[in-house]
Amino acid sequence: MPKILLVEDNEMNRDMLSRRLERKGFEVMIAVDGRQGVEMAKADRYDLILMDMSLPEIDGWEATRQLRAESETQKVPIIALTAHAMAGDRERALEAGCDDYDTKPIELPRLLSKMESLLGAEG
Amino acid sequence: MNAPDRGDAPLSPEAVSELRHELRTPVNHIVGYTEMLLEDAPDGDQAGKAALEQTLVASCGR
Repeated sequence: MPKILLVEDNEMNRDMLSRRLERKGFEVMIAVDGRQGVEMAKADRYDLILMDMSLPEIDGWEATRQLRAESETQKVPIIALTAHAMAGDRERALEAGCDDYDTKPIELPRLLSKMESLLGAEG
Repeated sequence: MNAPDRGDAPLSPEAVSELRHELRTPVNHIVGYTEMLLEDAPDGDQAGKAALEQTLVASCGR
């Protein structure tokens, strides 16, 4: 069962996405801000991280940079999630070290296909 | 795009994006939970499914 770390500050988004992913057969662990996300990612091994970018404490951009700077979390696939869909967000996310990018509202089939392609690539 | 002139400075793109986010978030919750209810709805419950589909349409045109 793939183990996912979901870093999301909004309680309802967190509840909804974690339950929907669990139904699809993922094990989902939750962090509520960027700092906790980085700590959890360093402390345990995850197959993939879903990173909201607008987060308290440290935001998703900075959290991603920190994870990429550490050898143990350098290679874990990260998908950035943003609600804004601002021009340039995708480029910014990839520049920060994310492997892919998706926008809210989450369309589950679209997100799942991105997750599956990264999980497959990891082997 | 011509914003109506209310004597205010025009909203910055960041402010528009923030406002959009604030407005979209609760709608996204309605949509997501409704989709979960639809996944759970028994096949026989066509009326229930239709009502949930209607909620999705009303929420965001999906």
